[in-house]
Amino acid sequence: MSTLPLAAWMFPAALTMIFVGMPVSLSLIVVAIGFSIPFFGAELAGLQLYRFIGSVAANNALAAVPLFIFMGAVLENSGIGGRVFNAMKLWLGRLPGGLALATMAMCAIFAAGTGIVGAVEVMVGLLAIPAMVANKYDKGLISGTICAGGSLGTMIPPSIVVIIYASVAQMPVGDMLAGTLIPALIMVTLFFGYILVYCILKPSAAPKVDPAEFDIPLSTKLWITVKAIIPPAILVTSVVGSILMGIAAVSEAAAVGAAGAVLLTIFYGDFSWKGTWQAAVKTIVITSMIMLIVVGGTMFTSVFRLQGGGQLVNDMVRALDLGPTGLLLLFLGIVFVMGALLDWVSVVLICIPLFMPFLAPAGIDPLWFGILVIIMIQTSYLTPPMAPSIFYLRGIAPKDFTTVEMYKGVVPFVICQVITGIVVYFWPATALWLPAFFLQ
Amino acid sequence: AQQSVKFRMTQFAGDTSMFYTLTTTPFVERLKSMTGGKAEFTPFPGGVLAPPLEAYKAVEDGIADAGHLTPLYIVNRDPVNSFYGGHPGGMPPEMMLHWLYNGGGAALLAEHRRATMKMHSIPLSIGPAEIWHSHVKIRTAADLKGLKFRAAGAWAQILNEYFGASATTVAGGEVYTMLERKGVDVVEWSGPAENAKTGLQNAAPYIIMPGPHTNAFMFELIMPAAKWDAIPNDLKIQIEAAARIATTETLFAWTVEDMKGMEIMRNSKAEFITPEPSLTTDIREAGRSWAMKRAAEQEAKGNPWMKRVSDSYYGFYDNWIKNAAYRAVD
Amino acid sequence: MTYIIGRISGVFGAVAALASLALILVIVFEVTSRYVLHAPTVWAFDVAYMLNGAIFVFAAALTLRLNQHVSVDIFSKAIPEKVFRAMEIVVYLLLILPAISLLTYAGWSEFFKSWATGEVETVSPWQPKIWPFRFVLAIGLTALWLQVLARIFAPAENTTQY
Ligand code: NA
Ligand code: NA
Repeated sequence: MSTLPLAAWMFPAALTMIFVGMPVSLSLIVVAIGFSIPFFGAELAGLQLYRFIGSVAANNALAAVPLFIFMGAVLENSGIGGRVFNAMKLWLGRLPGGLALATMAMCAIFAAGTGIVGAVEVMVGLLAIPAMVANKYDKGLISGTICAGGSLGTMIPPSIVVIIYASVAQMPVGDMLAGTLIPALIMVTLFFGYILVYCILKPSAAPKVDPAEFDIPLSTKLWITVKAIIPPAILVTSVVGSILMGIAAVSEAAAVGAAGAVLLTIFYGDFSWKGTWQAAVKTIVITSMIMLIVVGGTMFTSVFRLQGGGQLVNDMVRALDLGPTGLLLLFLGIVFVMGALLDWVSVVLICIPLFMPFLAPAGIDPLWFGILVIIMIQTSYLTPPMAPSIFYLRGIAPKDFTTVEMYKGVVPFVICQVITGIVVYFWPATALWLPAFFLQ
Repeated sequence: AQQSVKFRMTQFAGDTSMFYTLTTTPFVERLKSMTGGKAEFTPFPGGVLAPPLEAYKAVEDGIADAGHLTPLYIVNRDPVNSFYGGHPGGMPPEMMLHWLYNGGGAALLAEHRRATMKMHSIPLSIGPAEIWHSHVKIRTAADLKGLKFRAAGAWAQILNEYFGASATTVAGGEVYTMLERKGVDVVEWSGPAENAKTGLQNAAPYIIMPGPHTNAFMFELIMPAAKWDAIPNDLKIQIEAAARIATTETLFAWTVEDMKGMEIMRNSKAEFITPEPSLTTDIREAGRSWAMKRAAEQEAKGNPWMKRVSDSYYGFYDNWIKNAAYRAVD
Repeated sequence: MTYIIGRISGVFGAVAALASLALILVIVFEVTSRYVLHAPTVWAFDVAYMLNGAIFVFAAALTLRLNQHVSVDIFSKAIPEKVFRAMEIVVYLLLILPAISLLTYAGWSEFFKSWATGEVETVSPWQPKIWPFRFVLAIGLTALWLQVLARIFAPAENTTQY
């Protein structure tokens, strides 16, 4: 490599802007335009990159993004969460770390109702943190449970991460959503297992709840549970199920789910115009944040390839001379490290277009690889310095929670996520069996 | 004029697609070696210089110097493109080659591009028939009613106008997903080889073939007339020669690949459905009627092109049918 | 002035929020007519993508005003606030504003071109005129441009994280 192509400087330029603290989306756009100008001149560079805004808008799969966010935002604003949390407490409250287990269970349920992390985490956190604090739960345990549970929002289908990933990697969204389901269950099981073991070994971390609270007849208990859980469960399973079974397109299922969430609030008497409007405003802000990164990433990738970046990456990876296993571990390692530093949309938009061309020649199943990446991306919510789950937690936790306590609390959960990745790595069937099953 | 040519050329397909590997790459490489590197087209797959569906604009704006594109994607702009992008119920490949090179088809396209787009156009590759992948068994025209059909060009308009279906255009990368998740009921994308590569046989239970909407389709090498005119004569001749070789070369390679693709389709779980002959006839008539209607509309607006190209196309078509009886072809 | 720009961004945000509700209705309508009535519409697909474009482009300015475009704050938290603010002004003025200006310029010139030629959507069988969509992109980009300008004069609003 005597002279480096211009593309080689695009990453340093973008990363500098991002780490100085500029918005990721605008940084990608600026660098794309900056490196396009020497090629085309200013006016054509603007025109060339402008066209990608329209093409991102026209991507049918991405229409599901605002819809799944809206669905979560509506559920978050309603009183549905409180009822589900109470029901979970009734069943799990007596176990060691019972409130944490109830919190995790609720996270898993609501993760199936939205495609993003913030909605699950904030809603569950607002309900569960006061309950756990009142019971003198360990702050690390509280933080870890809320952050890790919240991160399930994109692990359990539907998931905006999967939708964006599939559109960047040109993979079938349905297969990917189906592929994440079993790994998600493994991850939830590991989370449960960790909480249980930790609270058995260290009972002081999770003092027992007053049993009087649960002393109600079984029939009442069942009735409370049915009332709280069945209607949202029907909504969630019909939306996710219709995607997995191939009954409806993703954006169609998402729209029905969004409308269904509003109907559900009417059914429970929680509906308000104000709440719906707030959900819509929240939806567009988060959508805009995500989609503008997609736009920036698309522009960045286009200019990177234009400037010979594809060849550059090819040469570099060839020079390393890795086998399929080495290649896979390298890519997953990059995702893990990038996930600590950047948000997931940027990781997907920057890494995946570079990785994809290597998979087929190395004989790596792109679906299996995709699921492994999605699992690695789960860690990105929790790994500092860029840890969105912890940022959300800071917004809702009492002031005496320190950031160090939060970071310490999430470490065991990150380990659970990595173990999930290892399981899927050694048993690819965990990721591949379900998509194949639904294909029958 | 300059002594050598170095052009950025935009494609609309991805660089792993057969539209790219069987058509663009061989042309670019042959031309380079034919001219000793004096004529070099650097190809960029869809999504680099422009989003796939806006590749024509990239050539018009000068973002790309040239394009290797299918007129199918600009049928909405001018209906004459239908005859070149794969006209519903139209000519099969062999007939189309004859029309293009010996029946005035290519010359007419070049004249049209120069007059209406200030572009120069050369046929560059031709592909054979396409098939449909469907969630519904389609045997007659009546079965098309109410279906959501991924289609492009005139076929999309004809589906809506003549068959009561609802056509949608989905970009290449999304075709599989949309079909598999029933975002659409039926898709036409390409022939057996490209479809097998995309895995469409796994996305829907039925394969409808032949898909009589497109018997052959053409790509063109297109560039601003000013750029073409500035190329030295000897290079122009070599570019034309390379394009002509590439056109037949692509067709032969494509057909051979399609036969392998058919073998894959046959071994898949999908079931072959052969439509009634009436469907072919109905689509052929709809294609002609659509063209006649558009020609009349355009003429009323003072645009003679649709009439001219339809007359040439259907004149050649009818002549072939009438006089090709002596040929023993299978 | 920054206040007025902020209000403009808010108005576009409200339009985007309406568009998100409209997106739900359009797709639910399409789902009903396709699955229940077996009569899919020819327009829902195009309308849905136009609304989706409207949502994220119109909301981009409000999102910037609320400081909700993801950024990494490791470095900015480590240096004095005033130093960061000075850097922010420089980057927004010299890099971000010119970049968004080029996109906005392209947005308007493409709008005028499509308006003047009556261009229809290239591949849609519904063949809608393309200028309304181009218009939406152009205004959305202009609102974002204004909000970038406002950021040069005043720091972002402090709002709660979602
Ligand atoms: Na989810
Ligand atoms: Na992180």
